[in-house]
Amino acid sequence: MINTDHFIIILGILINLILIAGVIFGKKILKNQTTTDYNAKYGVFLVTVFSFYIISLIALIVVAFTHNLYYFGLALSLFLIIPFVIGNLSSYEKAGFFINIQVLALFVSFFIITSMAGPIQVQNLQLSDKDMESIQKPVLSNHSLTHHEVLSRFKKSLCTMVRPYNQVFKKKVKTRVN
Amino acid sequence: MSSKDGFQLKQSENKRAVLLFHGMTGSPFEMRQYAKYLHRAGYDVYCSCLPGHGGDIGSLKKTKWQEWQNYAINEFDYLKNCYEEVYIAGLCMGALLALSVAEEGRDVAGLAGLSTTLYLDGWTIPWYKFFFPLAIHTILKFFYDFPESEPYGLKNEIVRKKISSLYHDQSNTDAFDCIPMICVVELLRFSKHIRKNIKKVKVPFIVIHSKEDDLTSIKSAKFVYEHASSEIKEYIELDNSYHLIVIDNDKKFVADKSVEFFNKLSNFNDQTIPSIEGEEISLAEL
Repeated sequence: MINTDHFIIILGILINLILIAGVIFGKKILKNQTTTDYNAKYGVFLVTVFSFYIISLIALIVVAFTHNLYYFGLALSLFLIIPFVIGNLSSYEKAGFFINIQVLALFVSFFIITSMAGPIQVQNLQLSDKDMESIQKPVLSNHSLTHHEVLSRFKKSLCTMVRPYNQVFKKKVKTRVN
Repeated sequence: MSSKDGFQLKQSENKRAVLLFHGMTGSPFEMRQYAKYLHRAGYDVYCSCLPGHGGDIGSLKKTKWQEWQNYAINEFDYLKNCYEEVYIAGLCMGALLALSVAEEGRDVAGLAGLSTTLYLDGWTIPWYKFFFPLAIHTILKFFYDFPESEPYGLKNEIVRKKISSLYHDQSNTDAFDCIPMICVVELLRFSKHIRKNIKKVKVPFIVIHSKEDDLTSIKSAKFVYEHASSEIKEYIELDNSYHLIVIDNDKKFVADKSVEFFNKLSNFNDQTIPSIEGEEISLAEL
C-alpha cells in the first residue's frame, strides 16, 4: 500500500522526469527558433513544472528529515539552491552549456530522490513491527538510526536503486510474515 | 537612412540639442515624431539605435544593461562637446538611460522621462507574473519570450493597426515581435540600479506617464518624482494613452510639455513653440 511518503517520492520522481524531458526539449526549441507564441506557452509550461519541482523538493526534504535521513535532506537542500546558482551564473552566450549543467543536476537529484525510497521503506517496515503505543510516538524516538546506519543504508539504496524496488521489499515483507 | 541607423535633425550653429533614447525592443523609429516636434521648436535632435537593437533578436539577448548605459553616457559626452546645452529624453527603458546619465553626474541641461519603466506592473503583464522570479533566476529565462500583443502599448486604434502590421512583417527590424525574458532580466537589473542611485539625480526633469500605461504603472513615474534630488521637477499624468505616449493620442501634449519644460531651462530661447496643428506627421511615415 502506498503511504504519503511514497506518494511524495513518486510525485517527485515524475516531476523530475518531466522537467528533464522539458528542459532537453526546450533546448531543441531554443535552437530551432520557433514562433514567439509557442515559445511563450512552452516557457510558461516549463516554469510551472519547475515550480512543482521546487515544491516537491521541499516536501521531500521534510520527509527526509522526519525520517532522520539527514544525508538525503542535505543533498536535496543543495539541489534546491543549485538551479538558482546555475541561473545566476549563466549567460546567453553559454546558454547551451548551462542548460546541460542543469540537466545533469536534475539527473542527480532524480537518482537521489529515487534512492530515498529504500531507507524510508525500511523504516516503515520497522514501524509496522511496533505496537500502537510506539506508533503514536515520534517514529524514531525509540529507535533512532545512527549516522553510520543511515550512511550504510544510503549506500545500499544507491546500489539497489537500479533493481525494481518491489522485488526487494516484497522479499523482506515475506520473510517477516514467515 | 533606415531607422536602425538612427537619425539626426540639425540646424546650423545651434547651441542646444536633445538626445533621445528609444525603448527596449524598439527603435529610433518610435521617437521620430517626437523628434520632429523638438526640432521644430529649435533643438537639434539625435537619436540612434541602442546596442543589440536593429538586428536579430540574438544580438539583443546578448546585450547587458551596462552596455546600454555606457552607450548612453558616451553619446551624451559626445554631444556635450558639440553643444552648450544638451537635454535628454527617453521612452520606457530610454527614460532609465536618461536617468542613468544624470546619475553619473553629467551636466544634463534637462531631462524628460517618458513612460519610465522601473516596475513591470502594467495591466497587460500576464497573470502568471508571480512566476517571474523563478524564471529570472534560473536557466528558464532562456526559454521564455513575451510575445508582443494587443494593444501594443497604443490606445489609438489606427496607429495600433499600423504597428500590428509591422510586427507581422518578417522583414521588419524596427521592432521585435517579442520581449525575451533574458532582456527583461537586464531591464529589471538596470531598474534596480537606477532605483538605488535615484538620489544622485539632481538635474531638472519632467516625468510624463499615462494613468493607463499597459506595461508599467504610474508607480514608476511617482518613484522618480518623489525620490530624485532635483530642485526643478515636474510630474504629468496622461489620460488618453497607453505606454507609447510619443505616438499615441497624447503625443502632441507630450511634445508640447517637453518643449515647454526645456524652453524654461534654456538660455537660447530664440524660437517659440511652433503650432503643431496641421503639421502632423503622416502615418505613412511610420
